Amino acid sequence: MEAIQGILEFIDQIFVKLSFWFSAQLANFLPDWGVTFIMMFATVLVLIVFGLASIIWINVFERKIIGRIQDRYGPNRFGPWGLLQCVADMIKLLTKEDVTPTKADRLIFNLAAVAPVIPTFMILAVLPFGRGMVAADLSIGYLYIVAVGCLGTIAIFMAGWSSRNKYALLGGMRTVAQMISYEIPMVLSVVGVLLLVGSLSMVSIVEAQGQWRLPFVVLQPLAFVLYFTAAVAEVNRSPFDLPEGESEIVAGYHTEYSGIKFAMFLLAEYINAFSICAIATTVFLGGWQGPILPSWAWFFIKTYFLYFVLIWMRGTLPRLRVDQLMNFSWKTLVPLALANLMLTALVAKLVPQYSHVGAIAFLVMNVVVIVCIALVKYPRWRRDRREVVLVPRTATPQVDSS
Amino acid sequence: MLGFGILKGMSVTLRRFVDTYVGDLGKFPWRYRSRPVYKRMGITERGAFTIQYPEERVAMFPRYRGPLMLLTDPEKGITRCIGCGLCERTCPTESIKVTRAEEKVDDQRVPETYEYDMNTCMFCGFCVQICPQDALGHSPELEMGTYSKGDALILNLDQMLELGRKHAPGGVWPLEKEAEPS
Repeated sequence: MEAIQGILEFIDQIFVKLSFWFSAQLANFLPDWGVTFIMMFATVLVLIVFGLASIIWINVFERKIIGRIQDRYGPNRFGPWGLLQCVADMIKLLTKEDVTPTKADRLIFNLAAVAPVIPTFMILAVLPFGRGMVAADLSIGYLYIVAVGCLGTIAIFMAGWSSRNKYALLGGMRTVAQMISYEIPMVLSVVGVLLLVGSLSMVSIVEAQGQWRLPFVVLQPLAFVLYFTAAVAEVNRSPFDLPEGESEIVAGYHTEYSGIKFAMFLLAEYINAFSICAIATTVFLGGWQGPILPSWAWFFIKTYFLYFVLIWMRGTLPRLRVDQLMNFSWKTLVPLALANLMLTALVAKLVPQYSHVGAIAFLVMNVVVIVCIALVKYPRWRRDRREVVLVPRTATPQVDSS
Repeated sequence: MLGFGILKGMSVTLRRFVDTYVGDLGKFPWRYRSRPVYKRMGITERGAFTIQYPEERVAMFPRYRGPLMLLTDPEKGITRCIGCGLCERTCPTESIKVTRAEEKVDDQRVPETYEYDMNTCMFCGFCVQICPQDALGHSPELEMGTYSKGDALILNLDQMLELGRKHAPGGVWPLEKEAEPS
């Protein structure tokens, strides 16, 4: 029994131990500051390589699942079960001609292709991938994610503006409107959890769920749904993919991009989608906590399950209209998030922390909020709209001559 | 209301997702070849219905206008073509060149050479319509790709007769619709 536990412990900590071993090797011939410096770069390198490598099969994963949903096999030609499809895609994208429109704002156009990738990789820095496996445990972790996440909007608007293409500009405008609208419910819904934790650090959020012995999705189911909805809109994925709605505006902000620059946008989109799933896992699903399996395995199982849900939604739901999009954010998500936040603050003061009574109180609170919203939004007592009878207009209108 | 419609839709797509795997398990060792194409396409059928092209093909429909072929009379054993040159004259893109042989074969005029240029042919079918002997037909050939333009796409008499013998042994065009096995 002891031996098995020891092995599990070792597998759990394998990456942490690897990093310690590496820094110990460096310490043999480098001063302290040198070791720190190189370890920082090594961490960054690992994160970037992880991000790039995960694209290789997230892409195939997504296309295969979408295919299955639509009653066809996805890519299944290149490599075993089509797993190398991404390699073929990448070769195609990299060898394509890289076009810059003559009238485009050249500097911003080229900068905009690189800009969206940087914040997406920066978000990976604060995600706890496992017990002790976090690149930088910032005390303001969630605030950092929100702040860095906003930068993606600027990159997309840069792309839309500098292309000098009306569809690109429209796509960019839509993105700004959408991202700013959905940022608010996304942040507000997590603030409820932050109230329970009392800290913004991602690691302490995970540890607090260990103390509750419940993932926060049980305590804050409404906030979870709100967060996930708003986050899907935040990364411009279907059903909120208006910025690149191909049936309306050719391809949105990346209309004019081709080749490697287009690949950069694609990369940013996939890593963004991965990181919102990872954040939802950390904040609501208990992060790396779980029985038996090593902590990093639990983190990836939960994250990829959420990613599957994301793909599943993409395969199911049609795209929203622009007015529906704004209404949904400002009239539904924001009021719900505010109500959830206020009631959470109230209940968190009233009930003891880390207790079953508290958990039940939070559940009841959520049910109350949902029922109240249902009553307000769909009242039984609301009268049906009166039928408007159109009177056919007579050929000579009756003029009152008095 | 309250997203129940969304949940219902998602349950439908999840079922289709699972069904493709159930279908795959049902035809386990030969995933692509066990169930014929026409059987998979029914509206009540579940599972993926993709036609895995190089491994399995759909028969072309009888009036598909592919490259031309010369039909052979199965009774006489020679082509029906009498080399009259009407096809050559009616061809809008001048893709056909025919010359007539001096001697009759089996009491019938025959072509000496026949040159059909697929580079310029637009598959309009005028030649097939105008042929007085019904000696021309469209072959259901689909894979006509070559690595270069030019000679590879110019068919001569023998090649066209070969196409005719291969695709229309009965010597009739439009081709018979292939009977679907039950």
